[in-house]
Formats: sequence, structure tokens, C-alpha cells
Amino acid sequence: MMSDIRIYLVILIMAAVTYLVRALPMTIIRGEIKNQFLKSFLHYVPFATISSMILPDSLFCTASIISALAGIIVSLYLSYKEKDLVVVTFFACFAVFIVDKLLNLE
Amino acid sequence: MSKFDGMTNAIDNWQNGLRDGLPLGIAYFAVSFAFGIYATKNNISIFDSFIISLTNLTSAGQFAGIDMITRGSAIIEVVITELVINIRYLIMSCSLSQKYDSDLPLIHRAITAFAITDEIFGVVCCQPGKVSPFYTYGIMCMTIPSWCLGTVCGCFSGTFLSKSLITSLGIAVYSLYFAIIVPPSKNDKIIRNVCIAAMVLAVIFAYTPYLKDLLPGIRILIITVSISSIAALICPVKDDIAETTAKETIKAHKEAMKVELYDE
Repeated sequence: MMSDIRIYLVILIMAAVTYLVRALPMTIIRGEIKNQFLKSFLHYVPFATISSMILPDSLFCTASIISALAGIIVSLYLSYKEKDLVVVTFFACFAVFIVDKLLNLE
Repeated sequence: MSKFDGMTNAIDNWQNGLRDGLPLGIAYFAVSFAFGIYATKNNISIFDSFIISLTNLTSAGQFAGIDMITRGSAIIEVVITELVINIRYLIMSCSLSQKYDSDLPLIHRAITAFAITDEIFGVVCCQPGKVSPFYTYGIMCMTIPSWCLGTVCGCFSGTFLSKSLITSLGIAVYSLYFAIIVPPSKNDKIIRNVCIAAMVLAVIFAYTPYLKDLLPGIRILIITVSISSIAALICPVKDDIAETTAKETIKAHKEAMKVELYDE
């Protein structure tokens, strides 16, 4: 373990590095990007990033793969119906809770 | 006149942010709860865990940070590890830089940049048209307290929260992701293909020898850059798409103002 002061130094450095990575492009690129390729690239970035984080982790985030699947199916259905973020999240959590209770895994 | 002028508009945007921030808050509570448990297991005090969550607001980076504090790592290792884990925020920040008005004061950019996380980025970036910083502030008001509270509750875990309740909150992050990507994928074939390709690639990366040893942050970065580049080369976004969206926003705004006038 580290001494108290050293812990806070490490925390400060963690925070500083994380913040700089986040803030630099945002504050440097202030104008509108005109380049066709870069513009298109940045247009697709959010969808590629988010999709790459879904599988396979979402299958193993609950007590069992069955409850995770239940949650995923509920999320897919409600998102397809274009329900609000809150609604989708609430019902997905509820579905997982119920399935886990039924399977008696807790 | 910018469409974000005026106090009423700022408050409206802030409230929209609060609303969309609620599911994020639920998801963050679950993740930071796990972080709190992990920190306590590694003998980090509750106060220190709270400070880490408040100043870092990132999951993978914080877990790695706990490991490094426990091992007593050198400062240079902390810098490099945090850089590698969080390098994906660089791309997200580039993408988000285009979502705010180009004449937005620097201070707004500097503050909203603090809240660039995978989830908040997803929600903000997938909003149609330009985004007001007050929308992001609304999301921050919901997520940062929840992230910190979850951490503290995790440190005290078992004493006052049902474990099965927390486990079922684990799905929240992913249901949020679905709610972000599914509606635009319905009508836009290219976005749909981008999403499917990224998911397939993520599965391949997760189960291929050597590739599966990559840090999640790096895996996300490689997939994002490769898929987005290919999509940008094959299907460049036409300028008129952006213009149409902007025109529609202005039109909707004007109509909303008309309704207000008639009401009065």
C-alpha cells in the first residue's frame, strides 16, 4: 500500500490524464470539419463504438445468461418501438430481476 | 441569433438532459457499486474511493487505478496505463466537438469534456442536430452524483441493499446502448450495417487467441476506427443530409414558436 500523500498524487495523475484525453480534441477542434471523409468518419463513430461494447459483455452482466438474454430481448423490443431511454432501461432491469428470481439463482 | 439563446431555452435543455440522464444514472449506480466493492476489497478507504469516482468518472480506468495503488506502481506506469485505457475518449471527443456550435465559449467545451464517458457520449452524440451544453449539464447533474453515490454504497455493500437488485441493474448499461442504436438503425441501412459489423467484430475479438488479450479500451478503439473508416469510404455522408437535419430543426423550432405565439 501507498502512503496517504502518494495515493492522492496517483489519483490526481489518473484524473489529469483522463481529463486531458477527453478535453484536448474538444477544445482544439472548435470549427466545423469540412473534409468529407473525416465528417463521414465522425458521423459513424458513435454507432461503431456503442455496438462494439454490447457483445459479448452484455450476456455475462447478470446472474445468468438466461436473465441477460431476457433483458436484451426486452431492450431490443422496446428500443424498436422507440420507447424512451428511461422506459427501456427500467423494463430491462425489471425483466432480469424477475427471471433471476424465477431461476432462484440469487 | 443562435437557437440556444435565452434562459428559458437553457432550462429546457437542462431538463431534457436530466430526463435522459436518469437511465444513465441507474446504469452508473450499478457499475460504480461494483467499483466500491472492489475498492474496499483492496483496502481503499471510503473517502478515497469517493474522490477517485468524483475526479475520474470512468470505469475501466478506475479499476486499473485501484490495482496500481495496491501494487504501489510507479507514476509513469499510471500515466501510460490511464492513457492506453482511455485513449478511446480522444475519438469520442473529436466526434463530440462537432455536436456543439462552433461559436460556443471555450468554458462550456472544457466543462462538458469532463463528462465524456462511453454512455454519455452515446446519448449526446446520437441527438439529432446540434446539442446545447445545458443538455449535457443536465446529464452530468444526474450521472455524477449517482456515480459517486453508487461507489459509496458499494463500499458499504451488503448492509442496506439487496444484492439481486444490484445484479439486475447490470443490464441497464446495455439496454441503454440498445435504446441509442436501434431507432436510427431502423431507417438507416448504413448505420444498421455499421452496428452489426461492429458487434460481429467485437465477438471475434473476444474469442480469438491473442486478440482477446487486448485491453477493452484498445479493442473498442480498433473496432471503432476500422469500421467507421470503411463506412466513411464506402458511404460518405452527403452534405445535404446534415443540411436537411439542420433545416428540419430550424423549421420545428419556428413552428414551436408559432404555437407559443398563438397560445398567448
